[in-house]
Amino acid sequence: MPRNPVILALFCLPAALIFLLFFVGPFAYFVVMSFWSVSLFKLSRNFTFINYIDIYTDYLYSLGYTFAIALIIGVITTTLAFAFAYLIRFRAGRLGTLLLFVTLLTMFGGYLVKIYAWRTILGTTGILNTGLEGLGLIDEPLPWLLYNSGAVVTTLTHFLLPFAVLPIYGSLRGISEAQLAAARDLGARSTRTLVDIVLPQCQTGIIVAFMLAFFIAAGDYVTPRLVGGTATAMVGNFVESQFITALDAPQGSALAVAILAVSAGTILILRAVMHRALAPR
Amino acid sequence: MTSRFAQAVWVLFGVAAVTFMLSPLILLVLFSFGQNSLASFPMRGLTVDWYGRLFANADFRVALKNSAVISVSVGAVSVIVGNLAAFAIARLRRRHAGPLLAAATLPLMMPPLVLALALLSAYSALGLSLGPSTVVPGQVVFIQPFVILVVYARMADFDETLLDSARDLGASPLQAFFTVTLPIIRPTVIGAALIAMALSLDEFIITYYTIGGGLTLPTLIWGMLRRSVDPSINALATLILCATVGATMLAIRATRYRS
Amino acid sequence: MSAAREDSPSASPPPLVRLRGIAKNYGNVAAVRPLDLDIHSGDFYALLGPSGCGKTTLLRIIGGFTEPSAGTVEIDGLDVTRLGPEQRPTNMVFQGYGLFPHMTVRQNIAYGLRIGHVDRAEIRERVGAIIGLVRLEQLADRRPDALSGGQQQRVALARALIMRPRVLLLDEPLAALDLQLRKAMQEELRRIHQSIGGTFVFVTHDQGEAMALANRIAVMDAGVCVQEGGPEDIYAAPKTRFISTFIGDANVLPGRRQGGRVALDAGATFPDAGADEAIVVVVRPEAIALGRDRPSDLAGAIRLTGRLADSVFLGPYVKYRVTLENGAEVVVHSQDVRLRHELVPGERVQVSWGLAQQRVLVS
Repeated sequence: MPRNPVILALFCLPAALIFLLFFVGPFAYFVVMSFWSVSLFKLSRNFTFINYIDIYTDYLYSLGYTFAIALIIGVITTTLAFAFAYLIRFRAGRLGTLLLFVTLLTMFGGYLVKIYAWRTILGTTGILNTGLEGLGLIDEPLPWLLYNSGAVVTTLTHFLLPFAVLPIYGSLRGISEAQLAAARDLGARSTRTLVDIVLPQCQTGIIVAFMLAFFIAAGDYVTPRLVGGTATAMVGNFVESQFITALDAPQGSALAVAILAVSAGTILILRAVMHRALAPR
Repeated sequence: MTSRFAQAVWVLFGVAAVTFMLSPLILLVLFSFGQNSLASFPMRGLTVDWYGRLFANADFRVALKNSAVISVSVGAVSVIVGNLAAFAIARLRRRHAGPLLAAATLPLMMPPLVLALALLSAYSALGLSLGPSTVVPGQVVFIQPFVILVVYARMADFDETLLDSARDLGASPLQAFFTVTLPIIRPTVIGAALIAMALSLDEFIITYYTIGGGLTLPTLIWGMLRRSVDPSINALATLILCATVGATMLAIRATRYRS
Repeated sequence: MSAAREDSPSASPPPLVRLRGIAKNYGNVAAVRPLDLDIHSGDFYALLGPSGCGKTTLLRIIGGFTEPSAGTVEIDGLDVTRLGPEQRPTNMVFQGYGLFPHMTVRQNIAYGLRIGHVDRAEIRERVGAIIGLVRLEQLADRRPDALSGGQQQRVALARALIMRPRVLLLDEPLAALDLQLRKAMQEELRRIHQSIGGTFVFVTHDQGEAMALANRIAVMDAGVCVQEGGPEDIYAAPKTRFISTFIGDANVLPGRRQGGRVALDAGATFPDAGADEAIVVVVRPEAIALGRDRPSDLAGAIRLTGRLADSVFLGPYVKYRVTLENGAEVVVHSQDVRLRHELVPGERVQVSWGLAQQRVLVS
């Protein structure tokens, strides 16, 4: 494989074409569309901010709610993923490979099927309830396991956990056991070692993991639809309904762009905070 | 010397985490063979009735065909396109390769809904009719980054001196590629292809919005969920699960047998 | 086997480190068999042996990183067997150094003091002093990845030394360095040791390094300490065949002792008291005289004839290989350069040494 730039460019061409035609293009059109408007089912292509203004007036609450849920999911998932990745890297010895294998397996093990699985598990006739009833711990099935924010958080955390484990594990691989032993030798207890030595070195991994979890959670609509019930409409649901039901595509795209902007902003803030907090003194 | 208490906590955590990750899937498989129509314990017995019901369903056979066609197409396209790009990027220096890889993985950072609706808007603005042919590129866009990353990682580790020896012994660049490079990276390429197909098979959101009226296995589940509590859903879900997990296991096995 | 010192009794102070009955088992494998060891204050102590002999395990037991299956560890009169590394008056320089890549040299070195809540001014002063000691002034604000291997090693050393440990432990400290650098670092380590007068214990598989640095060596093989003493003692009087070939080069000639007389397979005989058994004679290459096959040339008690196989000029000496009449090979190191020009490969030669230069060991 020569380093001739022309040939290299040629090789990248098919992927780049697909990337441009089916990602950049549609997405650019999407953003442009968010500045158009629809009234009485007619599309007008004049530039206007009205969709964004409407977001401010009508959708602020739902944006906030989505943001909060995504944040919770992001934090829980990243924390669990960190603990699990730490376990695999430093505490599991030879079992670590097996655990990694399990993680990879579940990662590619489907999306819709997992949501469906949780709906079955958490339902009133689901295994959790019937199990608790069978053990005699409750008399009636607990209705509050399903169709609420808790179910959304559980389901999405379950789906996102393996995705979050991998980048963190990648970062942890770069930390040698000698470093941990040295920190101990110099007097650092486990918490000190964690904060001083481990976390600063896996900032990238943690950020990537959080990003994945946060973005995907923020934009998800299937999970709230299937396990969230009527009370937990997230922005994704509204985007969908604007497109399909209200046939107001510009409003829908504006919402989508809004949530993307908020997510990106959150990530940038998080990165800055982490960097500041973990810099060695 | 970690304390016994800390050790015990870690073991407990590990077991809990693995149980959390695996049990929904295991339960799903279990219930697809259960005799009672509701997914609960105690199970009254094992049966394959639900599978029979599923296969008798005409919609299922259509969905199966579509899914197969789409996933094979997506797998083929993304593997070819992804490999070419990965080879090229692997020749660049780290500094240049980094941003390119980051750009390539951008589609993964988007919520699939946004991607799906953007594609739908673009397609309708262009007046294209929807069907499997509009689904394939949409899926490739977000599956090709996986292929690129996997193959790039393998190529970055590739021992260039092998190629030098081949050239030294008289092979042309093309010959060296086919007789040395390709056989060595073949397990990785196969693994990437399997992962691509698994991802495509399970893909729901983009497919749902860009297929027009068509059916694939995931959209079939969605349809069944909206309609009624049909226990053969368990069977369908299990089938999809086995296909994706099976392909993934094969992929992991394949990519593990490296030099 | 006890390697406690049998020195002048009342005069010498009690050992700084006392290991008694220390053993370590991993499942059925005995990494360290029960042993006793004494290390005195001011020692530069080497644990020497081939891979897998248990020396690193022993070091880690002293440091508290590995728990012994049996036995006690006493440091400075205190039983530390149950204590972790952070509670022992020891510090370790790890293999691979374990430097924190996200901290500068200064921050790495200061880390232990920061944990110990030493006040800022004192930290600054002590870090400055130790950086001077290991000669890293120019590099103090760099990160580890901008340093060479030797420089990283000095940072790891400084980071441990600043804690003022009673015992400094070093795990194969010079293993990753090339030859020139290794020699330079050996000098550095000796200088630092003499300068601060501390107690160093280090692990190595390189016998030359052990001899260059240590004032006492414990030779280990398969979990057992086979000999312990000063470098000259071990070199001149190895107790077993293994030690004689592991430390320095040695010629090993088999023979048989019968009725107070030894008969070498290669030919010569000499008197030697002891049981009737198969033995080997060990003699160092530099203790052998080489000369032409003429009766008057050599005067040692043992004299053997053979043919010169080849000679190699190695700088400080010439290495001759001689094939004896029974096929055995003898290596001779000689500084007599003139001899090299006189002898021709294939020529008949004589090798000779005195009884004082050989050791008779049980086979």
